[in-house]
Amino acid sequence: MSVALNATGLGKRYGNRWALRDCSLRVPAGRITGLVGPNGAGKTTLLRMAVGLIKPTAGEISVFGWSPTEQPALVLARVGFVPQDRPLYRRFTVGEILQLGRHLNPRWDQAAAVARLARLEIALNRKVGQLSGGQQAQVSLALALGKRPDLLLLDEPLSNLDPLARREFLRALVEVVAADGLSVILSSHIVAELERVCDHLVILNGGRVQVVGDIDELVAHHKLLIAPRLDPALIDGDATVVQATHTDRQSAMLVKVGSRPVRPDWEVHDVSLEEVVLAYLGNPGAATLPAPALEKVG
Amino acid sequence: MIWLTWRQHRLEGLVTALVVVVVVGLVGALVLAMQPLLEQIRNACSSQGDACLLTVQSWDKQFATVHRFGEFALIALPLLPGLFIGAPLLARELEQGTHQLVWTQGISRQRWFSVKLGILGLAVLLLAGVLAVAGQEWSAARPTMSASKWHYFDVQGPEYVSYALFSLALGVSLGAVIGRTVPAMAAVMVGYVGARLAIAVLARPNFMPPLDWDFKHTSYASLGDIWILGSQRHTDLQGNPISDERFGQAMNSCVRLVNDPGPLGMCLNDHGVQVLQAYQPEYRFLLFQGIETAIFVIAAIALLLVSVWLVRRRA
Repeated sequence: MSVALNATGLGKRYGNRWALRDCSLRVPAGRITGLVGPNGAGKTTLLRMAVGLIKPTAGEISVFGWSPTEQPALVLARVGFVPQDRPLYRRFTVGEILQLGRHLNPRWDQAAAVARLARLEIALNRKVGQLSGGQQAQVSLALALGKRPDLLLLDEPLSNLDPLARREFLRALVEVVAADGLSVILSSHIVAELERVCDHLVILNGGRVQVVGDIDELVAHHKLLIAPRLDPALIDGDATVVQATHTDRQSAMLVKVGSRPVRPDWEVHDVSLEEVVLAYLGNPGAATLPAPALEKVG
Repeated sequence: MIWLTWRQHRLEGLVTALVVVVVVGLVGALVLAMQPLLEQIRNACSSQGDACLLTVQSWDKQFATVHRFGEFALIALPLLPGLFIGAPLLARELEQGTHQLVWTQGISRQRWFSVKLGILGLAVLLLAGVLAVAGQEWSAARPTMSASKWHYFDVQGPEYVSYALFSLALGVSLGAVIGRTVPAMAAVMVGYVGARLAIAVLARPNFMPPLDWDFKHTSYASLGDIWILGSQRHTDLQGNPISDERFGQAMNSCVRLVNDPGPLGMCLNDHGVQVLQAYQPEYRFLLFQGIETAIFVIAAIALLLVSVWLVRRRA
């Protein structure tokens, strides 16, 4: 597995608060990785460190093997970044934003950028400040893609966009990935949208990595068990309880299943990705270990 | 990068250039308009007399106010590069988050910053140089007997250019520290005025130890265009301050000479009293210009280095 982004023991402290702590993860190349977590979970901090805008307080981060702060030129030539809130020079025209990209990047694909905006019917002579939020997001994406990146980092690219603009944005993203095969890391707190485009998932919670894994496996390895009222400690087999809720007569447990089958007299239900994510986010103490992908069997 | 600098700063650049053109035009026109009267003053005042007094009065009536206003405008202008170019340079990017955009493109942020500083610094140098020449002409267009050239120290020569450079550097560094445009501009205003006043009022009179003029040596006129510092001091012959009472006693003994400074000074000397006036001599003018320029250029370079460090460290 080729690695796009690698972090070991990564941490960033502001004053005495850790925005990100003990973060170790590998993001595979050639995939669309979703980065989920509540606000303040450290998503933005992680992405900013990946492009050298923030220096780690602890640990290391590398992008395609290069350090963003030590070898910024090597990293930035290969990484496209759309920052949170998608800042743009509002007084520039769309054409001038592309010109900025052309002047500041050694490998810049003007034709593709122009064609991309033309397909979306965004005129190059429009002032950025006069565009709709969705169009501005598309311009930000065009600027990030114009440098022909191998890795695209998108920090909450869908925030403040209406549903139609979100769909357009994700469609544009999926098209590029299908055509160019680049790696993408996309942060969001809207799981449903991530599920539509991502195949890999990282859950950050309270500044720590809680879960890393392929979405298919995450969904397949988590089940909802319904059993007569019991103590979760009595659970049979080697499943790990992520979240348990009890009524007077019953217990419902979202578990990461183990290698042994659960007791046949219990009901077993499939769960959605959203349920898995919410279960983990609601229980920061649960399974801080990396999830299925790195787990040894038996 | 050059294109981006032009695109982002063309508005401020053009407005500043326009201001400079207008100021230079006005200075030129007014200096020309003043010439006939100045010529009259020069002729009339080659000898002492009423004609000299009358022409100078006529100058006071016609041009003194506009001349003072022009001087004030020239003193204020070097604040502009700090306010409108320096302060927003980093602060606006940080405020609007666009630094995340421009610092993640394919060129290093050090390169981005140094090209911007280089271009804007050169433009400021050039425009300030033009204004310094205008200031030179402006300060030369005055009745020389009514104001010392020391009075126009701040509006001419290399120090004028160094003020503009300092202002720009102060704006850039305060913008980097504060990170918001309007507060940074306010800080530049306070910082620039404070630094200029501190140097002009506290440091400049003491760039070199002042000399003392003893009143027994007739009038100042023989000294040329000097800078008079503070007021007269009354001392004993060793230079120690004396009480008003003791000075009064000496004056009483010499009161018959009160309209005759030289002999009065001699008489006071005979009674063990000196009247001294601290001053900087004319020949130090160029040296003082050099020292003042060096102070502001070094301060500007230091501030720019701090900004470069802040931009690099902001990671």
